[in-house]
Amino acid sequence: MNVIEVKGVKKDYPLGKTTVQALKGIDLVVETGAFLSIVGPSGSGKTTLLNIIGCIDTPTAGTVKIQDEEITALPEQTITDLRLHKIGFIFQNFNLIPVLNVRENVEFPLLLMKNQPRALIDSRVKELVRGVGLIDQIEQRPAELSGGQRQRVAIARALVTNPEIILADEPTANLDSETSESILQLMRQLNQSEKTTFIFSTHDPEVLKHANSIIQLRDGLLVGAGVV
Amino acid sequence: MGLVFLLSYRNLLRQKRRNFFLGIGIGFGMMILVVANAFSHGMVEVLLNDIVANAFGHLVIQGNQGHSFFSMISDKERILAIVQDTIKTDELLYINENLGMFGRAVGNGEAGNIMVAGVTVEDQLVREEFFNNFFTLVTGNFEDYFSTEIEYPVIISAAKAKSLNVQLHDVIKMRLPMITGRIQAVKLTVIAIVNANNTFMDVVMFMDGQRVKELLGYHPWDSASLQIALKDPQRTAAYYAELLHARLKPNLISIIGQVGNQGGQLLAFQNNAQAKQLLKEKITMISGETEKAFSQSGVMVSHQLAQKLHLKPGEDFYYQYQTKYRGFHQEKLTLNAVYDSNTRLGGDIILLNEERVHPFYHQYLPADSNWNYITANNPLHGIMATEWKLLDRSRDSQALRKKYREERQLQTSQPKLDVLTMYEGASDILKLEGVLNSITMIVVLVLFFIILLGVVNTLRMTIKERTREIGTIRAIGMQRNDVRNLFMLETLFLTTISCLAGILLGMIAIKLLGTIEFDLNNAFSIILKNSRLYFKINPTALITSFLLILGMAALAAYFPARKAANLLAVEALRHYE
Amino acid sequence: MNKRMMVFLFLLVSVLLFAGRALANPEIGDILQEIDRLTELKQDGTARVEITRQKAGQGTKVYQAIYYRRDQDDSFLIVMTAPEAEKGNGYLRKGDNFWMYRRNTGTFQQISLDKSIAGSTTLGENFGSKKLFKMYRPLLNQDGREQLLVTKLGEIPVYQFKLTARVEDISYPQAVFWVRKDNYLPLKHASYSLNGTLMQTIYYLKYTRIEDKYLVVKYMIIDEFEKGNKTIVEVKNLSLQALADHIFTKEYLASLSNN
Repeated sequence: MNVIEVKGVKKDYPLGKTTVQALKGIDLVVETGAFLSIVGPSGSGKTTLLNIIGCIDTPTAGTVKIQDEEITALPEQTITDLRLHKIGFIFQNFNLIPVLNVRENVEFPLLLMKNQPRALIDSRVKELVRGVGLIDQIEQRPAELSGGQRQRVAIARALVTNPEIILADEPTANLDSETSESILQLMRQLNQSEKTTFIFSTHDPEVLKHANSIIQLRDGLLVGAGVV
Repeated sequence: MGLVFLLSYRNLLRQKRRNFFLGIGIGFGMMILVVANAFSHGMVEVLLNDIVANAFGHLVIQGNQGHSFFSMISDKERILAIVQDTIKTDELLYINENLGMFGRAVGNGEAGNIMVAGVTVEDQLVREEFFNNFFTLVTGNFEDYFSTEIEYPVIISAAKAKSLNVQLHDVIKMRLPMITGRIQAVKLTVIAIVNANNTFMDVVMFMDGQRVKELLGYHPWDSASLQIALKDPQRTAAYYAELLHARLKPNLISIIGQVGNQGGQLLAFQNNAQAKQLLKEKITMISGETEKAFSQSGVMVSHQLAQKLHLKPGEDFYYQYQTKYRGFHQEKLTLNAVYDSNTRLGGDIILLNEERVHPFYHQYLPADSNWNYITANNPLHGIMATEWKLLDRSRDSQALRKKYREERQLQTSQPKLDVLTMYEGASDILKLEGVLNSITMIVVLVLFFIILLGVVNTLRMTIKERTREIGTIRAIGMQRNDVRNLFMLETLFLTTISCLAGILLGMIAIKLLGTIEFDLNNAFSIILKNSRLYFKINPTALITSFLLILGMAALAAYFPARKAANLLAVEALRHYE
Repeated sequence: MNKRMMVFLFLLVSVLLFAGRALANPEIGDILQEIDRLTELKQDGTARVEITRQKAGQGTKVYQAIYYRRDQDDSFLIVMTAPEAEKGNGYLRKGDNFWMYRRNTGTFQQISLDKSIAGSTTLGENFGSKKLFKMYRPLLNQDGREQLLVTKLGEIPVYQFKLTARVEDISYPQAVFWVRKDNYLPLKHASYSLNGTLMQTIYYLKYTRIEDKYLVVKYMIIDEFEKGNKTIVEVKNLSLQALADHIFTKEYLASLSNN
């Protein structure tokens, strides 16, 4: 089953008087449970594609379907809700809320869902935090954690709502290679245990070896796809 | 929503320094507002409850006769009975006559203008209140207030005693005008020197009400204006004023009496052109001078009575009647005309212009009257003169002054009766509170405007700093409205906490300011209570201003917060400082 | 007794009675009426009035005013010319209406007749043309007779008598007058309060004769209640020309005031 179907997606950015074509027509199908890596040099459109798939950006042309639902024409509020329920984000800069501790950061999306029983939230958060190995730091704030620890928290946060897809834009770019390795192993492990689709962008060849499929972008176009 | 609360609260604590200074600004403004409001409210309360209510009463029935400066009600008993019948006993505190003598006083080589208030202290409650709560005794003995051995015992304030250079048991000569206009001179004996608890009372001397009443020349059955003190004036004063007003409607003048052995009744017609015109149409003049008969001193007798008395126009006769309080009265009248009432007025009637009647009617109130002699369906009912004129109720001081000004223009000897509450009588004072509060409010609003500019600026800075955070939470799935509320709440938290601190500080400031003792001898001192500033917090005003400030803060925060909420997640995430 | 004797006796008694009457003192009521007649001026007049007030411990203040008066309708108009603080302020009475004009505000204010003029109550009171005989009657002694004392005030032979008010609305219910024996003009007038306290004494210092009438042009009021207060009123530059209607108007008062 396909979790994502991208068809003829183009994205133009105005840049001064000219227009930059970030995506020039992308067709892509992602199967449920994939661990997909998007590679390409900077400026090739990786982030733009991820943003469009993640419903935080809209294509200039083309359609995006998530679980067979066409999302490009949905109202803002519904899209926000869709992000909350179906998509998890992992950012290059971790983007944790600095005033919240590990537990609060992880439970944040669940609280946004409203009407979630407190007991359920607590057990889910504990399970995930334990899973990312930070149960001892659960009451600490992001500033007290290392980069790798922060990214683990971010992964836990992305997973907490049981999303269909987790999008990670250069998740290891700000981490040393050892930490990167462990983060990717964690992601892979979760991909398998939670059956969650992972799509991550990278330009680090080391990272690629973890992916089970890779697509390559250059100048806004797909230039190759395959399994490593 | 709990999340939004938690987040905005945590965010507030994030920029401690910046928010601390903002908070100080807001708290300081609120403190000023609290102190200023409490000051004006306290001042008004002092003016209203301690001065106006004491000098004026909560509810007043005032009578005016002719152009006299003094208030005079000619039948105290009757009016009192109406008052006591109207006001429920458990809502009435007391009824007092407002007696005051104004005049020139000479002490030991020093002279000055003085006012002597007549206070009747019979009731134990009044006695307690008067001697214990009004004054602090410096020297003397309050018991002497009632002494019959001493000629005109008075209580005097230390300040006034000093200005007249008198000491305990000294004599003060006083020259005063009586209600008739006669000049009276009396010797007052100082029996107590006091410090009045309200500075306003410093200028007033106090003497037994009965003695003041006699000195002013009131008869025992007369009354000065009646001051009515109520238990809950704010609730009941206006209500009872309306009720009393309705019950104080005057009757038509009627005096049952006789001329020689011939019984009769004296009636009066109104002294205005319309009334006279109608009367001329309804009755027929038989002999005498019509012009004179309708003049201000006009006297007419029905032809039946004239015949029985063998009276002709131009002749004098005496109308005699039993008075209510002064035995028999005999009024000399000069007959101007004889009329035939065409059965409209009945037989043995003497008809006078009201201006001829009022001067003796109120001096010699009749014991027997037939107020219903002329019934409401009689065509002449509307033109017959009434005992007094009941003035319309006034809305406020301004309307009251206008009413009195207009009444003064009228050339009539008909007495007037007015019912008013201190809220109209002193509505200027109530307005004063409003004005003072408005001034404070304007000043504080300007202050807050400046402070809120700071709030807006801070918020903008904050939003800019947290752009990526906004992007993150939007990406994770927080709705726009929640993001907007997040920032508004942060500002409102700050405002609320600062305002509450300001209120607390204001209360402390009030306590401190209230302990300072002022030794003032100028007009300002009348707002002092026990030589101290008097503050009273008006909870309604406090809550109103708090809500207003909160509203302003919300409004100020709304636009930057909305701007933050409308940021595109993708743009916000791309933001790097 | 024969008839001639009877006629003689009758004549003798008549002469004696007549002489007795002629030599006896006048009745107080007649004196009052004569004073009213003598001082009732039915003429228009213009004068400068100077009032010198001396207050205990406060020194002396001099007020000056121009005074127009018309007798026929009791109108008068006063414009203050001194002191500086009062200058230009004025008063206008026409019939029963009485206005006060303030120069600095340029406004008229209707006031009651008993209000003081330039802080002097006496001036206001003395502008009314009240008749002595209507206000007072002789005070009778214990045996119900009036008492007229023949005495001297300084060198001048005078009648001295006590009066009591006929009506209630008179400031001073009791008064004592000293009037010249030769022409009944009052020289001194003491006023008492209801309980008999001496309140003020007026000395009439100077009269001027206008045909068969007299006008007091200088008098001194001693405040007996507040010792040390004294007021001297002096009327100068008296002219008795008829005054036109336009003088007794607000407009005229305002125009005078601004000169």
